Amino acid sequence: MIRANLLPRARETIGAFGVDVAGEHVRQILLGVLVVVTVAFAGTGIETVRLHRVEAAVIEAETALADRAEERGEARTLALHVARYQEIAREAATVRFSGASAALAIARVGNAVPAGVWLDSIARIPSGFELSGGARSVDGIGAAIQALGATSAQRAALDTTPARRAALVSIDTGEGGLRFTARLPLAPPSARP
Amino acid sequence: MPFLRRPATLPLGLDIGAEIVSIVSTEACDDGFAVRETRSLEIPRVDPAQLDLKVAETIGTIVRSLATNERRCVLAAPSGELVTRIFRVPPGMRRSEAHRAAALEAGTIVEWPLSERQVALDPIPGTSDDMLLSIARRSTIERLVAIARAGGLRPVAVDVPACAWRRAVPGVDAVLDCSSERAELVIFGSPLGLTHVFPPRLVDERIASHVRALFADARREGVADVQRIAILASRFRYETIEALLRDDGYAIAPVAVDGNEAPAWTFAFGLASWAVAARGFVSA
Repeated sequence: MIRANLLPRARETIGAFGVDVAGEHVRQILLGVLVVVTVAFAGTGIETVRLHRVEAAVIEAETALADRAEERGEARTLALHVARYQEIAREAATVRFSGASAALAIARVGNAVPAGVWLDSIARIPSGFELSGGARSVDGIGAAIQALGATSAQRAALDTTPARRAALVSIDTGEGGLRFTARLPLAPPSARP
Repeated sequence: MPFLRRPATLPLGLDIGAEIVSIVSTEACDDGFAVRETRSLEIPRVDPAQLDLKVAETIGTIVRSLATNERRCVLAAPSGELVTRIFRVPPGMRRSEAHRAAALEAGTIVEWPLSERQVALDPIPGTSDDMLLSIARRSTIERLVAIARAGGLRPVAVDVPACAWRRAVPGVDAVLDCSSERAELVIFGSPLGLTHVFPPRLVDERIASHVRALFADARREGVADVQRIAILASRFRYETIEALLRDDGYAIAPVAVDGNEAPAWTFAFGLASWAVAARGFVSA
């Protein structure tokens, strides 16, 4: 049997915390809250599962590390040895480079000495080289000192070593000519590359 | 324990007529519902300005005389200020959307302003897409509700008269109500039919001729092919109208409700069955 209801109904509102919400909107609000709660719970659940798996993986890794402590100790010792050997190799290379550098310096000094001048000795001193030799004339000694200075300047340009002037230390008259002593300073070690 | 079982009362049927107020009290029982009390009381003739007050007092008088404590009631909207249509709801449309669409549809059916339109959308049993769209004047409905409240009742529904008549007088194709000075004809169709309110104090011959014309229109428009008519009128008036319509071949009978012939509370009885209409009407 058919029936109708034309009774005017008051607009239904639900009040909470001083806010009145129309009854027809309550369902939409509840649906929205349900969606938000569901998403929040789903996100929390996924994150919890992920953390649980990560913790399990960490525990498994720690266990594996503990099981291989002896091997890790050996590996650490081996690494120390390798580091020591590398240091030694580095020092050896440094020494080799230093010898080559000295030989190169001596060769340059020898090449810089002009004719009529000869060297008897080249001594390595802390501040550079001390040269002693002889010459037939004072002019030859001057030319040698000037050439050594140029060699020093050229070396400075090539090797980035700061240029120092060669200095004549002494000059004497001896058998067969003149005897001289000179110093060819080098840059202090801190200034070297 | 049967003696401890308390019968469930149903909302009272309240018929506020032009001259008489009727109330029917019913209660639900195992096989349907049963009438417990009926009351009809004439409204004292007063100045129109005092009419609502007198109606409320008449209702209050009846209510105080009832044995039941039930105060819920079902009213009827006046047929003259009511329009009904079948409203087809598209599949998948939500209820709130259907109500909004019905409210818009109502604006194209009646010319009352929006604030004066009281719109209801109710399901029609047996159909899935069709609904009953009822449009009434809100001020009239609110006036009737206020009168009922003033009489001590609590309205829970305002029904469409044709629905109440159909529940009150089943098994006929039309009901002619001549119980008041303004006669009313309800032709039952599918799902609702049509209602016609005659001018007041119309003589029986004019009523009979109008009825014939309306039956012919209903047949032509496919509303109903009326064969059986129930008439609610005094004995004398019933015999007059029955004599006028007898030769047309209709099966005419007086309205009978619950073993009573043409009771004044017939329409109130139909309203009282509003609560059980949804699950099928069975009069005990």
